[in-house]
Amino acid sequence: MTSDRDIGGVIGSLFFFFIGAGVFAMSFEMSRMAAMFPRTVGAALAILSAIYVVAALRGYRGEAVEATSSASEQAEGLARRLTLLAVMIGWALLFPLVGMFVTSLTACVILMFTGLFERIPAQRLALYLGAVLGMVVSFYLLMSKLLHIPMPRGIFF
Amino acid sequence: MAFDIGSVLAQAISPFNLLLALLGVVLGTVIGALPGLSATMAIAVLVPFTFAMDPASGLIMLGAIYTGAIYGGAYAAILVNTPGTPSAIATTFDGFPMAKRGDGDLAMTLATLASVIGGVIGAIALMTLSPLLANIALAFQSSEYFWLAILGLTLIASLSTGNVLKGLIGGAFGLILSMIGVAVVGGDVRMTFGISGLLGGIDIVSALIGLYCIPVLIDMVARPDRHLEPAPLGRGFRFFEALGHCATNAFNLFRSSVIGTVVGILPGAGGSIASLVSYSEARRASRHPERFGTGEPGGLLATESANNATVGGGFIPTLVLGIPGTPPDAVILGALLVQGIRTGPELFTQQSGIVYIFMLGLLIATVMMLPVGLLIGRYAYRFIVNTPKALLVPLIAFMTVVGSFAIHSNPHDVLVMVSMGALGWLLSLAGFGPSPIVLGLVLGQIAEQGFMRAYMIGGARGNFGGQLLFDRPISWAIFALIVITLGLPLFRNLRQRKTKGKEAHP
Repeated sequence: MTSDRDIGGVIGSLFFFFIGAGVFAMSFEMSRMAAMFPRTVGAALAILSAIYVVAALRGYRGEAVEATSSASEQAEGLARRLTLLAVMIGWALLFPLVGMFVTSLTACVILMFTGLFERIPAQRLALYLGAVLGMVVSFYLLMSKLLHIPMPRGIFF
Repeated sequence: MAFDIGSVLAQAISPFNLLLALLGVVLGTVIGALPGLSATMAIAVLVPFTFAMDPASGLIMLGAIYTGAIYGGAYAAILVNTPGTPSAIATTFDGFPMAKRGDGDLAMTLATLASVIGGVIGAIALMTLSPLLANIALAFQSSEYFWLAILGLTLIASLSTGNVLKGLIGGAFGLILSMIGVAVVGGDVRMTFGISGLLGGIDIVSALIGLYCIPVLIDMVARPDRHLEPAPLGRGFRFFEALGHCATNAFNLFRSSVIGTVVGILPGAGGSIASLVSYSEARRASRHPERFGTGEPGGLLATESANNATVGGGFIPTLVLGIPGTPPDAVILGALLVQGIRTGPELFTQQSGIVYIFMLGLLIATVMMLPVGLLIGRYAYRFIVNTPKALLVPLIAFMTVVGSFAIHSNPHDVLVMVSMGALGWLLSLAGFGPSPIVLGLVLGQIAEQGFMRAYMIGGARGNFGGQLLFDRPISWAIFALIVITLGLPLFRNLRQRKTKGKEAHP
């Protein structure tokens, strides 16, 4: 297998193939009316994915107009990327339990440090931390007081 | 007409009503610019304040908030690549690449001009052709909705030039995502895997925020370079440059505004289909379709004029038939009823004064978007360019979380947003872009509902083919547009190959 083959596309297509096949199989447990679309689209997804796997293994690759990053480009700053993803997942899971304000402030401070690329003077750091606090407080008040959205209070608030 | 034009004009442009229109546009723009906060929410929150006002003033303010919020959706789409509403999906295609390369100021001015032009054309249609256009809404049945959704899906082919297979795979995956939850016809619970939070399906706005915004955030923290290229100093609003683009795209703007108005009339179709169809048409008709998706002003003008034209279009069935086309229309319909205004065909004869004040107010608010939008747009762009990443990353991340939570006040939507974001990032590594998935997700339900209803009606009549296509002239017209949209790029490719072949072997 040569390096110019679209290995990422093959892996992605295999993922979609199994989803399409799974949906096609599941459609047989549904009523006739509800099954029509899932069965058709599931089969189409599995067939298209299989065609792409075969085509990619034979050397076909095309460039989508919509820009997507390659795996090699994404390797740059991988630790920061994964930190952001982990913070977002933790934030989404914890805020109903811990409280929107506390989780948001914690997550925003971690993300602030994730977005820092150089050492900065203590004074500027304090300014950044103050800005993050101000941002969380103002958005929290906008949502809860002005727009009357019930923010989860959890263990803290 | 059973009203005095002079008194309508005097009321609509009274200093107090002008101030309310200005306030409404500013509030709507700011709320619309925040991903997840919708026009519906902005109007719903402010409706009680309008009850204390006289009906005309209250309605002018509501109309101004609505039109401002639809326009405000362009800010996040252009500056952060996050369409806060489905109607701004196509704005990201060319708006974000423009901002990325340092033309964010021009993109904001183009979006403002296009929104004003589209909004004005929609409002004029509302004022002059309402009863006539309302009949079009009645002529659209389930099969037309199905074909309209398929027409929107054909944009996948345009977006995936060179790799149509990946686009189709992404689109099919989006369609499957749209089927999660209770089936639109049949009522089965599908693909929820016992998770009660999935019964209502995947929320489109949460998925949009996740698929478009999380990969951008992930990219932002990886590199120390600026999020957007700053515009060179001294270029101002680039107003005349933008006007030049509008002049060269005059027909594109007009066509997109008409598409926006007509699609806006159809209940349930709304801004997303209008902007996608107009983008697709602009690309098809362009002499340089290959530039679309890389920061082409024509693409941005098409989508922004169309989505603002839907505001005026959407009010046509609301006022003439009492059928609200979109959720904000429904809230405004409620406000109209509270003010003692009965919608329906008699509205234009019995209470025409107040209706025309409202329409004129909408037109004035749309025109006010020009100075307001230029000013806010310029500072929004500068703010995003000059804010250090250490502050921009938590700000955008916080907006995505509170924005997706605010949709239904449901933590499940935040989980959906983050999951879709992570999935979107992983799929981008494999070369699958987010737009085909989003198109499938947004249009899937409309397509399935339209097809299944046509299937049931056609089945009962024993003439499914006729119900779906053969006996329906509007379906034929949309079907022809689908064939042209799909066939023209193939024809162009063939002609290019032929020309190249002739040049190689003269």
